[in-house]
Amino acid sequence: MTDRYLRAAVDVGGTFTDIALSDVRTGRLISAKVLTTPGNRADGVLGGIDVALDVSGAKPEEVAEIVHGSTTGTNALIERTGAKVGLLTTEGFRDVLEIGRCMRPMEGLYDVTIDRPLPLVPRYLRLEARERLDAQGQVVQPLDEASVAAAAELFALEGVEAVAICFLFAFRNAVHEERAAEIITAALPNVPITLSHQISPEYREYERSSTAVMNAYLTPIMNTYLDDLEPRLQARLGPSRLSIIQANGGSTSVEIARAKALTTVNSGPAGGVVAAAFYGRRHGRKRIVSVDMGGTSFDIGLVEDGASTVTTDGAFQDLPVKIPIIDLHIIGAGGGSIAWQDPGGALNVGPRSAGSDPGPACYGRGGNAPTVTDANLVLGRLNPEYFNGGRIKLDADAARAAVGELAKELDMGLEDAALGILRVVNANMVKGIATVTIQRGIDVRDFSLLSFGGAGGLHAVDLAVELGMVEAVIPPLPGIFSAVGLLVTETRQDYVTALGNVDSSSTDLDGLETHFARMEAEGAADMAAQGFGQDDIELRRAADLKIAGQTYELSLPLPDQGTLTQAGLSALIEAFSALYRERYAFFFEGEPIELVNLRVTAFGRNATVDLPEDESPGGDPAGAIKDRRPVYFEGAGWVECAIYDRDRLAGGMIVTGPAIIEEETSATLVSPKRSAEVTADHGLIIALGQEGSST
Amino acid sequence: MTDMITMQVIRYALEQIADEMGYTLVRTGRSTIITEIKDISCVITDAKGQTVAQAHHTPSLLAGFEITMRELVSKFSADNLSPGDVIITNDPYKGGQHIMDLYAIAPAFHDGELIGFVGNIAHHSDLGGVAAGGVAGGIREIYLEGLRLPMVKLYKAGVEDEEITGIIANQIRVPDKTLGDIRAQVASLMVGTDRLDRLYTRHGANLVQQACDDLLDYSERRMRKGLEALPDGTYEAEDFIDDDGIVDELIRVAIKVTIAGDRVIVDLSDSDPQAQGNTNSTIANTHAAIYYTLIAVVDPHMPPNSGCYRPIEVIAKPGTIVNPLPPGAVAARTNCSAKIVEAMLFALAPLAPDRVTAGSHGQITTCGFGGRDPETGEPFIYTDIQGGGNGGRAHSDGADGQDGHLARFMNTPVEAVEQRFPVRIERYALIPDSGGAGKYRGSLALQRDIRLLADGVSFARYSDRHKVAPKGLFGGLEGAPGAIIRNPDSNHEERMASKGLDTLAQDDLISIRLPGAGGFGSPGERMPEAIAADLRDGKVSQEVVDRDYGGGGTPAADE
Repeated sequence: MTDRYLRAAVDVGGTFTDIALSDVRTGRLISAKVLTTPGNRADGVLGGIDVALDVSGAKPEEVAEIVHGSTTGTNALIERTGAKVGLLTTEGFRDVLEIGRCMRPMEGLYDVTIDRPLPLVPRYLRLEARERLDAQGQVVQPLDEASVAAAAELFALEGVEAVAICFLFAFRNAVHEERAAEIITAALPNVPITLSHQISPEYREYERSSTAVMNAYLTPIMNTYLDDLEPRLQARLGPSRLSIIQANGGSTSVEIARAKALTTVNSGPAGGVVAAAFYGRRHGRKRIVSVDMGGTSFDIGLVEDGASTVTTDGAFQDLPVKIPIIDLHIIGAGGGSIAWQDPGGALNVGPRSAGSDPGPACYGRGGNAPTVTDANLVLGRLNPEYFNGGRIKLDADAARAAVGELAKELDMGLEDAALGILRVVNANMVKGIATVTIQRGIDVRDFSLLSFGGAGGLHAVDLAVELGMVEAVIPPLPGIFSAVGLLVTETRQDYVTALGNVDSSSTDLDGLETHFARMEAEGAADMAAQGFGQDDIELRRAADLKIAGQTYELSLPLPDQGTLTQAGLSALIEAFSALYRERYAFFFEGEPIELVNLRVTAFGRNATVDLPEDESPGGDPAGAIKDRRPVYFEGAGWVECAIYDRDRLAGGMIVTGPAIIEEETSATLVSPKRSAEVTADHGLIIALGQEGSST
Repeated sequence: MTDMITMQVIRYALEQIADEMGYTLVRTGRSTIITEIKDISCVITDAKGQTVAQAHHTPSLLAGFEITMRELVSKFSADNLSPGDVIITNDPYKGGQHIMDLYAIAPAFHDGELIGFVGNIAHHSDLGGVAAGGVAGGIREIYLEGLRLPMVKLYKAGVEDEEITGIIANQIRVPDKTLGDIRAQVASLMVGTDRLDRLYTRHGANLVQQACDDLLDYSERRMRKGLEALPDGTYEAEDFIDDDGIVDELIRVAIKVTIAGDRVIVDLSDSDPQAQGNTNSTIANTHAAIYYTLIAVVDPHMPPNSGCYRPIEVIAKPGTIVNPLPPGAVAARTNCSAKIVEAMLFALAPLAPDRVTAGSHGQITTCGFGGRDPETGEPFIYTDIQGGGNGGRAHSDGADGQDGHLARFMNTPVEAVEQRFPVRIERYALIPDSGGAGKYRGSLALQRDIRLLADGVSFARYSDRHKVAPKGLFGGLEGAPGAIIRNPDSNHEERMASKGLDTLAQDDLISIRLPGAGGFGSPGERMPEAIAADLRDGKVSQEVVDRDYGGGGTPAADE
């Protein structure tokens, strides 16, 4: 593979497919954006690679690796177009998947018309097997094989395309799930089967069923997609390696992606958080809130200690998922969010979005509801001639008319109404950020806000100021930043052993070590199978602990990663107490602490990306000014602002506000009294004092 | 007045703090009733005790909070409060709910000034009383229902009063759990006061206080606007509680709702006198049911706070089932308050058919199993709360398996229960044919079968709708009533009283069958596809299709 020196990231999104092409010899980074092809997304993937190769002048046979963020699973969930799944449960519990945890959605607290999502498997495809284990995993009722065979027969008759099996306490003892799988495979040899203890060996039967069912639901569609994509890539590029991004922020082989299709959901946004962690590390920032603001959604991620944070308590499309995934909080706020006045007279923004069709009023495609993008345009913050590189011409009069209508209803001036829209959407976004940080005891005041996506640069400073953060950072290539993230991922696989609740003070060290060693051996073998040499494999141990009697555990890495010793265990418990205190502002002194799960994560080190830098000594940025226009600020009113061309700024330059820095896919607002420092790799860092809001 | 935009900014911040308090309480609590079921609420008030924001948990616990706060503000003046104080109470006759619901409230300060209060309510596994879990039915006096705490300072300037915790610990069966849960409530309050102080620092005291005032006015405005849009008049309805656990007679809850311009008067004067048993609804609980229903029917998306309640007048005669006098017992109060909701929805249904449901389960089945674990010898209390069916709606069936009005509980996972308590759950399922037929079907009821693996276990419970079935609306049919059956399908099968206290033997099986819900609209108008899908899913049997839908229904297309 010596003559193959290109790594291509392909991030398929709802509207665009983004490509980042990295030359490992020179560090040169080429980006391309093509429209996503919803009919068959593989068309867009291949088309995009062609465009990127074209731009870079490289040849297909120079591509060593494709790192792929697929939206196939995400879309199947949103559109409910996954497989027809049969679910086999313990006798008496076929309805657990539908009953769920009973809870009404938060929005339905008083609204009797709002329901939670329906289960992915209807009742007639949920069947029962006679069997039962107790809480220790002992067999109470042996598996009645005839009941499994009868279910298999019915599944065959109904033509199910995938099967999930979830038995009570299977995470304690897999014997019944495994035997049932054999019986079903015999009857339905070509139907993929997901076993709950394999995908998520943790307690709480509904959450584990939901996870297993979702994996089964996505497996056939993922296989069909990969069956099509893989040979086409081979035909086009020759023997290159295809890696698939997972929601845990790591990549994996095609084989594993086929078996664990669930892990590919939300992988694009996960790439954004990985990119944020990577960019932070380059600049010595270890604590970052990463936000990706696009047209309809605002994705919030967290980087602590230089790494993206992972949760095992997540959900996709409001259905629980009990596997390690990057902790992403997604709210409905973006450029397309619609502003409206409610019956009490208050201004609200979103969650309804104008989307891209008809889009904001200023798109001139028939939309007449005022949106965040319209407000930004009214205030002079967007350039009507250079939106998306000039490919979309914005109609400023239409924006003023739409916002003006709302201003009349609010009985305020046009600019104040537009500012109001921004303040309300910002407050929504601040609340969303607080939910995943402050709410969990994380003090964001010493964090950096890293903002990307098309609309990220215009709101970054206001959000960071409102949260009291130290700085706002706009990375280079904000429009395809998630794709950059795909190029810096490590290959990753997670392993977990559920212990139940073991008192940490009376535990058997050798027993714990045996569990860790077994998972490590498995991880090392899986990485070796994916072609990693010993030196490129890293294994990390972690554990979930809780205070005895409480229900929720905290997951943390073992401070001492070597063979487990008494001292190492003590250090772990001390680290747990410290984290607990930080999260809940309280600690229960002297209470027994229990070990719940042991975890190992295996990483395979991949090539990374070296962003191009220029060594310029800085100098006067005036040469990058391409225009001047009035921009409206709270308090100051209309102020004449310099408009900079980001591509013409060089490392070391300082842009003093008020200013707007424009580039093809994004724009950054530098408010009065702030200044943006251009880094050598062409990022923008806006340091913030402790003064008030600058909207 | 602040502008409507600043008000929204502060509102989001306050709601976030309330949710953060809830998150802390759930994460640090001990009992499954807090950690899994989430029978809690969190609230932020201004210095006068008016609720300005609340967490997205159980509305029933919250709406009555301002009555509690009125008591607190009259008892503790600002100079009697310092940072780090925590006041607790569970007195149903001083704005409380029932003994098991313990309120914890802390004053919040900024620059040495009292700026408001943060409070939370948690349902405890045990606060003493005649039976483990405090949920026995058929109790005559409040004294038997547990330790009734007046408003006392449990923490003084951050220091726990060990004399008070000593008293509490002596009255209860599982002191480690209960005291752990109380301390979790305190942790949640400390988070709340800290975040509120930060919010004041960020925006300035005047602005935040003004925004809070505006927020109350704003919600009041929304409530008044919504009421104005409804036709003036007096609308009446009634509902019945099966019995009070002592006397086998129906108990009537009567509602007269008068809409007059932008005001509403809810008169419950014709309701029956207070019961001998504990099905009485405390005044805070009665208010909660009324407030909940009016917000749901008038404008479900207004921010719920004390402002919404200003246009509402409640007439509840002392000494009646909806406003009992001491020493009446009250633990099973939700059997009554759920009927207030049901009756109000039926009274208002002709005015706002899109925002009501047909009759729902109309009760909350709460069971407490208490005994000793045969393996460890330790005492245990397993409290299980179950919702039930939701009535059909103007455009959709009742949602199967989803909790309904007033509460927003979660169930306890079988795998969580069996790891902690000596029981085995043998079935947790929807009950076919339990949803009332209609154009839109009432949702199915739930069944939970619990096998005892210990001997001499006390089984305290209150439940209802075992006799009076959930009603259909606009031509919809009734849902199935509930039942609690001991050892079903055996030769010693026994149908148990809905409210009571019994001792169970090892291997007894308790089958809890909740009520279903009523249908909405005439069954004849139901789409054949919907009937066919129910048949295929086994949610409705052929027999019932023949009986209630005249055999209608075409085979469903494959999905």
